[in-house]
Amino acid sequence: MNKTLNINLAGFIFHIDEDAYQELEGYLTKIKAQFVNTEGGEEIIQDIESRIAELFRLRISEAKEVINKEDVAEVIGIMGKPEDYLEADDYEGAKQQKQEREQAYFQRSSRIIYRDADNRIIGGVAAGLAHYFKIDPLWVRLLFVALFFAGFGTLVYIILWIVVPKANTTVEKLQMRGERVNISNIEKSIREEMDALGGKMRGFAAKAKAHDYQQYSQKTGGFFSDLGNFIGMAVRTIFKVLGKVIGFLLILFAFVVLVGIIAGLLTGGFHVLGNNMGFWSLMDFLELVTVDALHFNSLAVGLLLITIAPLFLFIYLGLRLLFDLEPLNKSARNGILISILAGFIILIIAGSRIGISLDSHGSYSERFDLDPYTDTLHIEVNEDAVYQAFEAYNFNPHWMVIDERNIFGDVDLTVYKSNDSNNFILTEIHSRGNNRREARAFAKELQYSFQQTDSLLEFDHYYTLDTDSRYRGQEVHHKLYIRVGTKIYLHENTIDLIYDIKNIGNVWDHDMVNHWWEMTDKGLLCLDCLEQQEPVWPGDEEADDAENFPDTEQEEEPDEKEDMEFSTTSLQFSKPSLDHVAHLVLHKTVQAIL
Amino acid sequence: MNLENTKAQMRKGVLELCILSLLKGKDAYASDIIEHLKSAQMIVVEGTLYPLLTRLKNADLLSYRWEESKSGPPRKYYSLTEKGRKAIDELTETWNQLVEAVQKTTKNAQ
Repeated sequence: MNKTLNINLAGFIFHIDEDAYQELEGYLTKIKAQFVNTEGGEEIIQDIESRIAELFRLRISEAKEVINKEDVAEVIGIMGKPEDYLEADDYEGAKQQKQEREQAYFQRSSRIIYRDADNRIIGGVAAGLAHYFKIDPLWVRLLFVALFFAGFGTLVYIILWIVVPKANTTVEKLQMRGERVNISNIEKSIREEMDALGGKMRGFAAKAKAHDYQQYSQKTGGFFSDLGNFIGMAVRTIFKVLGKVIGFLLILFAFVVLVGIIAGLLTGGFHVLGNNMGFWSLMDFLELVTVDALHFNSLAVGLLLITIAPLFLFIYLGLRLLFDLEPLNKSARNGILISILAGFIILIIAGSRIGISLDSHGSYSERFDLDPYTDTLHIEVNEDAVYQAFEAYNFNPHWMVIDERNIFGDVDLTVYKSNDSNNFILTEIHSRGNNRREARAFAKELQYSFQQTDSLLEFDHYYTLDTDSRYRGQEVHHKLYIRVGTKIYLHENTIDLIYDIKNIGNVWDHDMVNHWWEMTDKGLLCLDCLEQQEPVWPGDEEADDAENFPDTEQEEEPDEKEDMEFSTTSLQFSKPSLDHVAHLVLHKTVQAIL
Repeated sequence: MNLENTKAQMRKGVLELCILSLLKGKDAYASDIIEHLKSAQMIVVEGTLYPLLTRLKNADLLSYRWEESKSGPPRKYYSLTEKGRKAIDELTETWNQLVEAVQKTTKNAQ
């Protein structure tokens, strides 16, 4: 038993067998696809349908009410195959349509590559490639971005931009898009046909549609077309699934980064100068390193643009892959791209301004003579609240904000031999700045402190900057000058304060604390670390045999002495040298000037 | 070089002249025109004709009126317009020149 359907063709109702209907449906669909772009195509199709209805009427009678497969075949024989219609059409159109059919045959071999200026972001290269390979332009763009980071993406892009022509005419655009137009047209005409047939055959529609596709490809390409279709479909399916996965990952990534940034801003995930900072201290820091309010704002805006805009782009792309959203309209896309670019440029400008503000070096120094004291000088670090705060972080941070003061840890202490009549501390403060004068001004702005209480010398292991001051890499170097015979004890908590103290035996800074030291002519000598003595003075000379060390050696090496300047290396154990004095005078002059 | 294509092109060039000429004497249905062209072996299948007729009509060389039909849907009854008549003259002249030219060329070649 055969199922029959009722169809309306040019205003006439026909009973038609199911298989005959499928044949007819496929035929009409192809005819429509053929003429849909032709001028007066609707009319032509109407004429053809009328003629088919007429021919059907001739084939039914009282005895035979149903149109069968043979009838349809006969009518198609009379009317001609869809390809035959082309002969009457104009040559250009025929060529173009033939090409389209060939494209259906070999998925992409005859598709021509053009740049798609309609969907471009820069030059339409990615969109054009996407048409050529029948994939979403997004993939091509992601690939270009990846290649950009690999280093040659830009070059490849520019070459393609130059080499690949732009699709200007409609024909070129069709050639570029290849089969796409065709498929959508077929789908469109099938939908129209279904509407015309009424809602009776909804269930049948899907089947007819599937059949139609099948038949279409069989007709035009046979085995290879089937294979091509299959591969094409498989590839598209893989891409689709992959797209969803990547879309999901993109969203996840953007989300995690966003949450990370927010969490970091609030709780302190930023690592600046060894300090874990929250949002407000990050702002504080920016304020410290910038030049003025405008500079600060531009830096903040630049950072915001360069982080937020790409994240939104990621989230959007992810959503688009997941839910097949419409591509962002051009202005939105350009907006995002421009804001990223603007953020980048702003950051470069602001960054170079920071660079300029660190261009020059300047310093100044202050001398403090020590008050008389009894016996040994005990050197300690002032264990105040700030010290406790730094110690809580193991002295890793160089910067902290405590009680609304900017506290920096860049303070160190060295011990030299004093050739002066006094023990004194020479504090040198270095800074950077736009120019030497500014750098010196920045150096003067910071506050540091140490104090002597009888034989106790306490240093603050930090300096302070007012909130309206700026950070320009300031450093405080305390230089403690002690005369020969002076004894000092380095308290344990000076372990991070002392820096590169020259001594007989070359004891490392970290091993110098908790020991007693005495300044000798030869330099600083450890009084209670016996095991250090041996390796220092190899041969037959004893370490503490300072007096026996020949004076002549110093005269033999006058050049070296000059180079030594202020430093009390173990080799310098003489009376005050000329350059030493000169240096002191210089320091005093500098002090006077400042 | 596709010979079939060339043949099709040749036929196509004169097909319009043939259609117009068929309507010179009397108006006709599409199916009448088809009968004539088929017997003259100008076309093989009917489908070819409909796009042509529509184009000629859109170019104002033809006009049509609807006629009721006993055997099916109403039919288009085509007739020549004034423009169509002028087109026949023009095309006939060109055709004659073409025949002459082709004969001359092919004869000389032999």
